[in-house]
Amino acid sequence: MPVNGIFSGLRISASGMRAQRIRQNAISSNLANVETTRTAEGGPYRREYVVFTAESEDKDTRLVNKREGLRGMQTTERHLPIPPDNFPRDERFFGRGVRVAEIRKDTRPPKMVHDPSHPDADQDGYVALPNINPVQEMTDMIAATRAYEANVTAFNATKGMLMQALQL
Amino acid sequence: MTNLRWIGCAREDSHGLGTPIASLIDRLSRSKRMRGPSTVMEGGVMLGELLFQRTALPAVKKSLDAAMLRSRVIGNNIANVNTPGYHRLEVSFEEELREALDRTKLKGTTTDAGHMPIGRKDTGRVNPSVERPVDQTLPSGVNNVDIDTEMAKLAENQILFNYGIRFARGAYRKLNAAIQARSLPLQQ
Repeated sequence: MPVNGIFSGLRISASGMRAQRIRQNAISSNLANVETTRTAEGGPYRREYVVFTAESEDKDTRLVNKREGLRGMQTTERHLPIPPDNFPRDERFFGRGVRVAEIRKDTRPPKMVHDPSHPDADQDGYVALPNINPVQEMTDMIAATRAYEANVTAFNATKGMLMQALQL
Repeated sequence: MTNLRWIGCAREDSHGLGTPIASLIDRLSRSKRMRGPSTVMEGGVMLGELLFQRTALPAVKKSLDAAMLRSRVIGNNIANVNTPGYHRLEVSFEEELREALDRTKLKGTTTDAGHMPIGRKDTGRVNPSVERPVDQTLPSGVNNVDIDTEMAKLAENQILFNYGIRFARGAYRKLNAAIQARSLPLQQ
């Protein structure tokens, strides 16, 4: 993803929206599988959660290292500053949005529920149910929705500014 | 005006224009400047300089740059609202611009390429910079991004940008009206 360019602000917000949508998908999957006892890898379904990571920042060393011209030292307060040639510092480091690093499986042990009539019950009559707490999933879902909305607002703000600039 | 001379010197701004908005605005202002040879008045002041450089427009241009950059940085903070260990970024610009515009400070004029700039900075040399403030608090529990603050800053930044655009539009409109020797319509 290029750092510069008019639309990079929109791309950053879009990366946030995408990350929250993936989180939302994981939550939906957890809620759908709240009582799933059989999975391809065996055992009950395990809760999934996403891990976010900030996209690596871009450091433009080419511009940072460009220190041309003389630079005066101020040894008393009556000295006037002699600034160095002003390199474009705004290119120094930028965030580049967010990315889903991985979707992890929760390692917490499954919930053991006594239900001898269940086909997947063990010899003591206990069924291993997924380690999902629906209340936690619901609150996560609200958080994901709100974060998504915040990203949409940021997206619209940047878009509005670009549209305004076109009318100059 | 008998003392107008035509000389073939291309005017190039010394500072690089970082963001596309700046180049867009710059191109706009260039297209309204005289093309080809510049008009030089008796005192050595170029018409383009008089119309554009010696007004509030360069400062407005810079603050539009800063607002565009800030929207990107705030967007990045919001995108990372759930990223553990993320440190929020901030754009600093206004303080530096205020210093550059402070008329009480001394400023040396550079008339030769070998001259060093001295004292107060040129407005053209003030650039917005992205910083990472040192802040150990954890308002959201996982990082130092406070979503309410970011949203407020986003709104504030948007209004500031709209103001800059409106100001620049008004200035260009006035120039245009003067060039065409007509009065501005009362409602804009």
